Amino acid sequence: MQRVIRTLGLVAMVALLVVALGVISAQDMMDNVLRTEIGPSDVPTLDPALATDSSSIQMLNETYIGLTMLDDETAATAAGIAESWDVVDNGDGTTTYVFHLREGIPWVKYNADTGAVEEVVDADGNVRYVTAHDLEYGWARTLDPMTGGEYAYVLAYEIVGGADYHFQDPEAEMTVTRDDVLFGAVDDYTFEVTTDFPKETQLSIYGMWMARPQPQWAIEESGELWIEPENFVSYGPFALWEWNHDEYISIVKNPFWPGTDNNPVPQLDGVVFNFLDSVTALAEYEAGNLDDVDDVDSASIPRIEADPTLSQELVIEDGSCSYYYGFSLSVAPMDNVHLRRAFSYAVDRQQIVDEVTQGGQTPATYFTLPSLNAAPQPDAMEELGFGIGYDPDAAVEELDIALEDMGLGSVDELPPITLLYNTSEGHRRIAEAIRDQWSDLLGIEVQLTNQDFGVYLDQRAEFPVWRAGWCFDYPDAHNFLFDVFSTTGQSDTGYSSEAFDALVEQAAAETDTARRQELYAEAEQLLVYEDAAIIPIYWYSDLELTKPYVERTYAVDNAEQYENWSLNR
Amino acid sequence: MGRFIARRILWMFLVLFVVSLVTFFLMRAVPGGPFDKERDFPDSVIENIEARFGLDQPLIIQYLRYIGQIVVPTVTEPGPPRSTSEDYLFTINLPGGESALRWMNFGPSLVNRSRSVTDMFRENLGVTFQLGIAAIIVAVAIGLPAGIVAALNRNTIWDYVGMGIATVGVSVTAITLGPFLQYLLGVELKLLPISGWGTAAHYIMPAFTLGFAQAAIIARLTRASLLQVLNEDYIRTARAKGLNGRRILWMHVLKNGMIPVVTVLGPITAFLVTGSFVTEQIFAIPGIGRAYVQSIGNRDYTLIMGTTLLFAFVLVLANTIVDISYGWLDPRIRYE
Repeated sequence: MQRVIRTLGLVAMVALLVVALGVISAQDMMDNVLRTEIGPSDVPTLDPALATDSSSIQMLNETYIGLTMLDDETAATAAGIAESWDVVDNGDGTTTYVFHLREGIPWVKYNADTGAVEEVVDADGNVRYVTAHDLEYGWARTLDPMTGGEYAYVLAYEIVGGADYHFQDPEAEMTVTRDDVLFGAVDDYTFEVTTDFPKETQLSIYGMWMARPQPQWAIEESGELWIEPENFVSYGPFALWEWNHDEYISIVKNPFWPGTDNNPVPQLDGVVFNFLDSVTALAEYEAGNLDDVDDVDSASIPRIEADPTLSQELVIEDGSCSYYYGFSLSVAPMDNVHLRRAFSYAVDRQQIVDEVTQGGQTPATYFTLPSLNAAPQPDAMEELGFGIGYDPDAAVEELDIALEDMGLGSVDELPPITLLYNTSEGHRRIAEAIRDQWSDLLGIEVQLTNQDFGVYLDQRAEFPVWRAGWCFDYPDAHNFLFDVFSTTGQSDTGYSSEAFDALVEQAAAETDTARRQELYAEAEQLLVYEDAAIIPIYWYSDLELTKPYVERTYAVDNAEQYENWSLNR
Repeated sequence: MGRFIARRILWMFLVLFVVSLVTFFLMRAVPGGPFDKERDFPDSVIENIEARFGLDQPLIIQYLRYIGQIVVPTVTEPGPPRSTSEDYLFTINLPGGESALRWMNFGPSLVNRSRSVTDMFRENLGVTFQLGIAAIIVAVAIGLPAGIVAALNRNTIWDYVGMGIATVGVSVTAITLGPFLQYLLGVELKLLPISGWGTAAHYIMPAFTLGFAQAAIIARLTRASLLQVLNEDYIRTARAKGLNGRRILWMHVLKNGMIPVVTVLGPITAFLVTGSFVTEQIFAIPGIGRAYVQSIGNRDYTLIMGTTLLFAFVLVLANTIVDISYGWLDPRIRYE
């Protein structure tokens, strides 16, 4: 018996060795293809009308170029498939944007049999070019309530008639039709849209993923499956190469893309995005199987910083999100502004960033990311005396006023306070640190509770204080202050302030950036100090590991422009 | 025997029905939905999308419709599916070529918008089964000999070393063992691929990660069971009759000692084939376990239902096979 086992063991060892050697020698090396990762799960969709998440949007930004695009390093609005545009004041309070499209951008598709990207031809054998009609079809499909796109409403508000058309019950009779929405193709290469609320952000919204051209013939032929590799057509710098669901998705250089200043002809032949957990991605990177890791495992940061090689390859840059705690303004005891201010003053943001998150985040004294267009800048805010930071004396002072207001003798008489966060190791560690800071400084014992994301979103408005984050959809302060905290906004705080609304609406209509910054600074002061509806905590950082042979840009919005990258192996 | 199997199959349907009912209503009772995001979309947007997937209907209607799509076969036009909501697991082209009989439609994924749950079964299930079978082989190939060696060499160094390793094996979880192996064998020694699926080498680390804890359980159980059998009167009788040692071991000790081991092998098999969630995530294996875990966080209702029913089916099936194999191992057991 023992001899049998010993023999079996030996056979197994030999087999293992043979297999391992075979794998290493058989590894095919594609020289000019970048290997990276795009998070642990499959890309949900490649449909411009349906995309909502960052990985889908990343794919669309490489395969479908918008009327306008963002400069990856400055987030400034640049020309995309629109060469130029005219802005016409109609004199009746509406404004029409007339976009002049580039000619000669063909629809393409990767042919797995020939191994090449090919131009798409119609039934008569003519190459199909991207036209204003594709754009018109795309917008109409996105706005159609039957399509079920979650981001359509962002576009809907920016077109005369758009919101009335989009927000209809598709099962009832539709009283507003597509014809009531003012956009459309004038000719093959001219596209027009009319808005009744012109503002600086509009140009970037008209270039967002849900507002891109869509291929009517392909969608009608293949239905929901039009985004599968055998059906998917596109026209941007890259085309869809392969998509092995739940394993990887890859894009290949589109030789027919003419190139624009902002989205040039790619130097890479392709990019392979593996679906990897952050810990696994780091291991693959260290083993030399990935050229770049976008999502660095936060628990590994101390080890990376201590490693002589890895620390050289690590780049920390500004992220695209803001981390904050929201108050439910109608839930006791957080209906008292002084108590809210005391809680906010008592949070030592610097300590959180230095000792808890340790990932190069920036302590925040207000909500809006400073890197956005028209966002208030930290030094200007400080000069004005605006914003709210760690101040133990002020915290205690505000607490005393709050207790007096509520007629309480001590903090022990406060109703119990529970902090809600969505289940995550990182959020837990931050919540524990902040709980300790509150306890030490204010003597208030806050309970912590966590729920999975779906439950947390559903229930947070019932908790006095809860964790939240906001990432920008388009790089303008409007997307933070108006979209989240105006009375019509997205926030669960229940914040509603006429003064705040007036400021952000005025800022939206203003065209002078310096003036907009001033107005947003005042709005911030109302939000974080006067009304103290939230506790700004930090602005995210973005950690990336890149091998030294990769020449790259760092996209501020995290949607990388691989057409600006190259490899020098 | 035939009646026994028939009864077990009936019983299986009953179990699956109850599982489907409980899962469906439980999952819908939990707050949150598949279209929830940090961005709070206008209500009408969510209502429109829910209407698209029939999620606006009364729950009982949704349930009946869901079960109906799985259980009731339909006749449609032949050819590949054009929509994720009309993708059937089984298709039989009817004579004449104008229609096809289709059966078992598990519905569209609510999150991965170009995929149906049926499609995920087709593409991802095989991978999970392959991994599970590899893990069973690891578990049995390590656990069984280790247990036998330990039992036959009781209270020697072999016993202590084997059982020591088994204790570690039970305590170390996949989430620790997986990354450890990745760093040791993948990053440092560069012996094996760190993640992915495809070649034989890709099987080794995940199968070991998944199977090691079960190997430990099997080893401990085998040892205990064999020790008990070794003390039985009939073994002493066999020895007294002068039967040679090898014959006693194979014919009497092992066969009788295997009954408890086979009992746990059923649940272990089901666990290994279905319980690979963590291992699949760590090693980036495109299996159904990974999809299952993600579906719960995503509230991908159809995928949660489909995978839960599937795993329940595998579990019940594995237990039935174990019950049947008892009769072969111990003729005293009757199928009543």
